[in-house]
Amino acid sequence: MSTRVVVLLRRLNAAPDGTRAETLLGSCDDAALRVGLSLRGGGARLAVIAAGPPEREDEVLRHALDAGADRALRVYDGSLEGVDYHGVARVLAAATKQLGFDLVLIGDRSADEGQGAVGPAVAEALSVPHLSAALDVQLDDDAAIARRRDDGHVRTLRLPLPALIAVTRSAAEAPSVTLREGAVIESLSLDELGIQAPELRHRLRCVGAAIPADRAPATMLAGAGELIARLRDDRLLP
Amino acid sequence: MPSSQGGGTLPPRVANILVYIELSGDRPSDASLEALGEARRIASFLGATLYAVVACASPPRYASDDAIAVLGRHGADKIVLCGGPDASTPPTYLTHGSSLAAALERVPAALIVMAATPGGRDLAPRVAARLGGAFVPEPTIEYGGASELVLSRAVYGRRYDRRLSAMDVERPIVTTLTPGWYPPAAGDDEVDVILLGGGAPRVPGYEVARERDPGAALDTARVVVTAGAGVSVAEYALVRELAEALGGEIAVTREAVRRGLGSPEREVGVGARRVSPRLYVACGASGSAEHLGAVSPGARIVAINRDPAAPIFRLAAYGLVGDVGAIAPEMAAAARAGRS
Repeated sequence: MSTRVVVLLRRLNAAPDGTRAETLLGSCDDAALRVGLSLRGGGARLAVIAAGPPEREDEVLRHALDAGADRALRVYDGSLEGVDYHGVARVLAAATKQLGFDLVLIGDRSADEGQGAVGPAVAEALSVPHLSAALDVQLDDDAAIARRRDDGHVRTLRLPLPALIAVTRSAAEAPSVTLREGAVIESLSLDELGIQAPELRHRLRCVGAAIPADRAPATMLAGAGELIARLRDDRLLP
Repeated sequence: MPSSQGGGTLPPRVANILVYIELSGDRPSDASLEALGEARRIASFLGATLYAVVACASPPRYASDDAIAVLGRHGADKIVLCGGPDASTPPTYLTHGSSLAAALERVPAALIVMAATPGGRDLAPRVAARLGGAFVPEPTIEYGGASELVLSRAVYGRRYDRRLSAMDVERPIVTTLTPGWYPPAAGDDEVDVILLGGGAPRVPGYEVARERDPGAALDTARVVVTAGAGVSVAEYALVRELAEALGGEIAVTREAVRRGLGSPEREVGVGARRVSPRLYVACGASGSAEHLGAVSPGARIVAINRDPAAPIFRLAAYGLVGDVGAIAPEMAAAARAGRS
C-alpha cells in the first residue's frame, strides 16, 4: 500500500486582521507542498488540508489540486476564527486522522505570525513524533529521512512512521502540474470531526494582542562615512 | 505576589521556573547558560525558584567544573538530572522529549525557558502543546512594575508586535531565547540536585549521517551583510567585500538566491536561515516579511536601497538612498580607514 502523505496548508496573511499577503503561501508552506508533491511522484498518495473559510482557503486547496494533490479537504466552522494554535491543531489533527496518514507535512513556520507551534501541536494531538526545520524529506520503507541543520552540522535523521515533519526550505523541484478534470475540494464540518465548537475556546489571551510596531522610520543619512561613524558611536563597529 | 484579581491571578505554579539545559561535551552550552541567566533575572523579579533541567546519559561527577557546579554558579537554585542520550546527540523531540516531559511532571512550572537553538526550537513548541500553554518564541522581555512581565515578539516582518503579559495567562508559558543576546548570571555553588530515573528512548538508526554545515558561520555572526533582489552580479562582489570590511558574514535573500547570487546555505529567510546579529546591513532588499521575519528583533538594521519608498526604510534604524554599487565600496573604505 502506498504511503499516505497529508500536507497541512494555510493562506498567508499580510496583517493580523486577515488581509491577504501578495503570495498565496509562506515559503515553508510552499516547501511542504513541494515535498508532498515530490513524494507523490515517488508513489505516495497526497492529500492536503486547510482549516478556514472557503473564501480564504479554497485558493490554496485549488492550487494544491492543480499542482497534483490527490485530495483537498477544507475544514471550517465560524468558531475557528480567533482560536489559538491549540484549537487549530486540534481541528487539523482530527481531519488528518479521519483521512488516514503515515506522514504529515507542514510548513515549519509562517512568514506572518512565525510562531511555528501548529506542527508540533498537531503531532502531540496525533501522538506521533515530530521533527522541525527539515530541509528535505524522503521516504524509506516505514520511515521518513530528513536533513536538518544543527549547531554547525547538517544531520540526516531517520524518523519511524507515522510522524509529522515541519519543512523549511525545500530542495525539491516543483513537479510539473497535472491539471485534472473534476477534482473537487471536499469539506468537513466540526460536527463530522466530532468536535464541539466550545471545546476550541477563544483563547486570544494566550496569544497576546498584535499592535502595529511603534517604530520610528529609519534615520536617513547622507553618505557612507556618516553611517560608519554612527555605527561606531553605537558600538556596532570597532 | 497578588493572590486574586479575577482572571489576572498569578497562579501558584509561578513559584517554579524551569530552564532546559543543553550540554556541549560535559558542559552546559553557552546558549543554555545565557537562557539560564535571563531566567535567573525573571525568577528574582517574580520571587520564583529556578530549576535547571539536564538530560544526560550518566550523572555528572561531582567536581568543581562539572555541570552541576557550573549551573549553580550561573544562577540555578535546583537542578533536575534526568536520563538522556549521550552528549554527542544534539536534542530533538524524538531523543530528548520524554526526559523533558518527565522533568516537567516532577516540577510543574509556570515558565519554561530554552535557548532558541535548533534543539530548543524543536522541543519548546511540543512542550507548550503538551502543557496546553502559550508558546512565545524569541521574545523581547520587558520588566514592568508590580511584577508585570511582558513577552513581546515581532510578527508580520516587524510590522506588528504581539505582546503577552505573563499575568494574563492561566496556563504555563514556554519561551525560547535568542542565543548571543542575554548575559549569564552569577549564583553560588549551593544547589539541590533532584535525580530522576529513567533512560532515554532508544531510537536505533536515528542519525544516519552528519556533515559540516557550510553556512554555519551565519548562526553566530555579530555582523551580517545581505544582498537582496536589487543587487546585480557585479554589485554582489562589492557587497561581499563590504561584509569582509565590516568583519561580518555575507548572506542573500530568497530572490537573490533565485537569481543565482550566493549559495542557498547563506540564504536568510523564514523558510531558510535565521540570524541574530547586532548589526544587519540589507543591500537592495525591499524588506519583505519573508526576509525580515528571520532577523532577530534586537538586530540594528541598516538599509541601502535606490528606491526611497522601499518599505525597508520604515523598518530599519539607518537608511541610505542610492546605488549599492556606489555605496558599498564607500562604506567598506570608511570602515577600513577609521579602524583603530
